Amino acid sequence: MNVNPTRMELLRLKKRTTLAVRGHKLLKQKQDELLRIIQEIISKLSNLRKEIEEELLKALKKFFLARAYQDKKSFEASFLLLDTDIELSMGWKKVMNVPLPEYKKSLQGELISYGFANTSPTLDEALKNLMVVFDRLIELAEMEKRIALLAEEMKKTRRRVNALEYILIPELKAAVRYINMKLSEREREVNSRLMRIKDVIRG
Amino acid sequence: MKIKVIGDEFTCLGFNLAGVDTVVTMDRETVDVEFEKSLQDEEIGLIFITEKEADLIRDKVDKQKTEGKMPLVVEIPSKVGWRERGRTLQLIKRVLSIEV
Repeated sequence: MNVNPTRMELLRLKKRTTLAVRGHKLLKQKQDELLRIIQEIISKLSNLRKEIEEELLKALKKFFLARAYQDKKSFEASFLLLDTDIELSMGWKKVMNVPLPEYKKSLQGELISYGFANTSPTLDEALKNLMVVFDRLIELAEMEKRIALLAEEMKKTRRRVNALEYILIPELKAAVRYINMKLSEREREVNSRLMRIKDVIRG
Repeated sequence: MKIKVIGDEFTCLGFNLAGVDTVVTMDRETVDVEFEKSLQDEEIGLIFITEKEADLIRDKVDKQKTEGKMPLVVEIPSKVGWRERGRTLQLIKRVLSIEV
């Protein structure tokens, strides 16, 4: 670092060093916290994926069965007059200054909007199962996005921490040392000059 | 906001009955077109895409997953289940270089 070896500069640099150290400490804490949150989500995520897989397969199988129980025409006819509508509302939640998405699902209309007469009960069951999985799927979507966002933030934070730790702080410290040495050197110079002048005057 | 499902006929059938917009896709081209269309649509907040279909346009899906803001894209297992587990986790691992 190129600095002027003056007392003013020294004071300024010292202030900057303390600030940098404090910032570094804070960022480091942020990094640790981010890592904790991410790991928490990851452990939840893998469980969730397993559950979803099981439940979704179960629901789909039931649909398959339901389709087998009745002829194609009436099966498709039961889909014609759909009353259900899924509405999604989204909000943002801030964690560590990272906006994370939050979803809410709302179901409008009746879930079962077909006649009971010519459809099999398996279809009803399948639909109910699917609705359960649906909540989970939305949760999964949320989590996957969250984790991606958090990871991005983590990357940024780590870069900052490293920049502070390995570049800025050592540089500042070196500059402070340099100025200190320069200043004491100058002091010694002045001292010896005074001594010399004293000698000349006396002599 | 709406949810959209892109996938095979079977998966779509179920979601359709549950009141979700679905698109049945056959080949790479239709998947591609539908996916792009869904991304442009501001009404759509969430896209479910079956894994098999997602594989056809893997690069686009991954890009939207990591970089895109809205809508969210989630891969769901098709009727054979998840073939590859935790692709997201791998993604995270690569980005963070941490053990998960």
